[in-house]
Amino acid sequence: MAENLLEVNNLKTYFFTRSGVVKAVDDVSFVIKPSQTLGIVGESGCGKSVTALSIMRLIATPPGKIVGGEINFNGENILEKNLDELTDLRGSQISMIFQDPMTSLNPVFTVGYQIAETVKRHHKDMSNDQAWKRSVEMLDLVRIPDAKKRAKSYPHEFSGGMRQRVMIAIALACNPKLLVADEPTTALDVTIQAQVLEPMSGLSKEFGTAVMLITHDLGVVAGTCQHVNVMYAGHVVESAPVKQIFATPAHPYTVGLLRSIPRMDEKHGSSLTPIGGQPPDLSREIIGCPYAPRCPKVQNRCRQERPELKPVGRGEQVAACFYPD
Amino acid sequence: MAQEITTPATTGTTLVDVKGLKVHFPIKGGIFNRTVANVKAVDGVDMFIQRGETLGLVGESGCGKSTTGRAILQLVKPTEGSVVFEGDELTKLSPGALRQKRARMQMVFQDPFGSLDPRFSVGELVAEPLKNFNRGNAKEIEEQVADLLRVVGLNPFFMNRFAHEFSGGQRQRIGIARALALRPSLVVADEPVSALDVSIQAQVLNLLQDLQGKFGLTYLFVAHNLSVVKHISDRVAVMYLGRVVELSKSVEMYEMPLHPYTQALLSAIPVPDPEIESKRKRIILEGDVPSPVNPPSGCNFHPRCWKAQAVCREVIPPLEEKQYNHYAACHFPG
Repeated sequence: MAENLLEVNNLKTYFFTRSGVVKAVDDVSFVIKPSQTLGIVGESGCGKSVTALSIMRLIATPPGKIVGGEINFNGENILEKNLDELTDLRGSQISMIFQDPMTSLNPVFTVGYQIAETVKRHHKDMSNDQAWKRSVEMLDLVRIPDAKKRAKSYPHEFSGGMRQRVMIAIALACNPKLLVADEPTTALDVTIQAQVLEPMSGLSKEFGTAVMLITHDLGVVAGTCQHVNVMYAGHVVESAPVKQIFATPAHPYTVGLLRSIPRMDEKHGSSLTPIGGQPPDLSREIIGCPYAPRCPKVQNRCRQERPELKPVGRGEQVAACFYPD
Repeated sequence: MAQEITTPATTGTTLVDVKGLKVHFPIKGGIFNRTVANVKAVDGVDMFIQRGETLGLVGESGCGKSTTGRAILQLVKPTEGSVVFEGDELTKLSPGALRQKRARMQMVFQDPFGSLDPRFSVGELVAEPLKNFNRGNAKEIEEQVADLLRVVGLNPFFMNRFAHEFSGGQRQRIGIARALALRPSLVVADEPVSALDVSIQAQVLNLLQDLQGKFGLTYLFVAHNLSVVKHISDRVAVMYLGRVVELSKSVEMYEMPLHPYTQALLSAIPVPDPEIESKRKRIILEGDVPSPVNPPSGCNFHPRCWKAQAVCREVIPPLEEKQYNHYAACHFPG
């Protein structure tokens, strides 16, 4: 068990809405090794955030429900834990950073207090002074200038990038084994994004924290992750080490995704190859491969049978496609 | 120059000439509601757009790029400066003349959800500008609407449906059809793809490029995503805190940026290639963009600039041609 920090097996998270059952995450399996950075990419509605929230057990029930599968963290199934056990786990073993730094901090407490609060929750024997010292230390680590003074500031006195760094400080204050970061830089400008990503990957390396980084930006993935899962319509369609995803993508969706993004280093006048059509409506029953209606390589078999993740003969790379590249 | 690039669409005549454009928004306060300060959203922008080209306007949030786009179209009233479009000084036109001029310059908005009236059918939405400018009787307008929908890749069959029945990418197509209805020469596209997913984004970008060829359009493409801007633009203007700091052909800008801010900005963009990413050196800027209410003296980038000297704190560097057709506003470019 020690080999994998997190094992997600056949996870199914459905939402029971008035217009039908939305299978947001449908039979997803993957692992995260200790101190590994796993990227999860995909377009909106593909189930990447729901996967993260399922791991944190933060799915709002109703309408959502984890209807199947298991999530083993350090050998224990998170889905079988009660609320008290979960509260102990969250923040100390698994932490999460959310997309919106503007609303994830409490406006009526100083940032130093909010970091100290998390620390004290998990270290009951710690004095207030020690906890405060720890928060100043954390702010310093995420490169907030003049941390001692700034710990006494309120969230509104910080800019977006700084608030996101405060979130990282809170998340890493108790030395968690896993950090779940859900689009941590999507709301930020590029120069600020660099200010946030750098301490995040630097600190996780230093502390040996594994990171599950959810993003739609393939550039961010290339720069920070070691392994990548590509998700589409609630399924993982391809999973591979980062170099292989970009060099030899196997699933037609991954290929399409890579061809449809403009790149900074492209030649002038090169044209984009968009993926035609729309992602499927997840509240309808999907028969066969969910990508079949948009796939350029579609065959009859794809419309009848759903492909499973299979090795494509290049090391750890797996793809859910009958006719991989 | 060896790497002179000729884009067939560029004929070289200036369509829009912007000089010293300023847009200040007053902050009111006190018991008499007097103006206590100004948000200097746009603070002295100089640039020109050539007929048939795409000029990309990039910068981080709050740098004034959207306000510049709107001020060019006179959707916000410039505080100072001049905008000459097709030979007319827009800031001095009478309201009636300006209204006629609006048929020649249109806008595509960022948010395909908020910019379309939910009570109008798609047909009505696209017909609205045609009706406003009396472009034919009911039947002729309907034909034009059907044509426009076909041109942007929508089936005219859906004319009676409402905007909420369409996906984000399709709505953005409706917005583009509306903008094209009056056959404008200038289209200001304000973040037209940033609300869309990457696979849909490429569809809309390709459509914009096709339409440019088909209708001889000139684009001012406002966006924060530099990869997208590089892809679509012939020339690029980089803004920082209300001013244009660099303006050049897009290839040149990305290969040898002259302004330190552009250099930092370009280095911060992640490239989707792990091999390249592992070798890249990032310039990480300290601090945040200063407030446009009280911008720094001299060059307003100097507090974050690693090259700053005494002169940078005192003298505003003008936007000058440092190399052939490559303009930068910096005392120590390169």
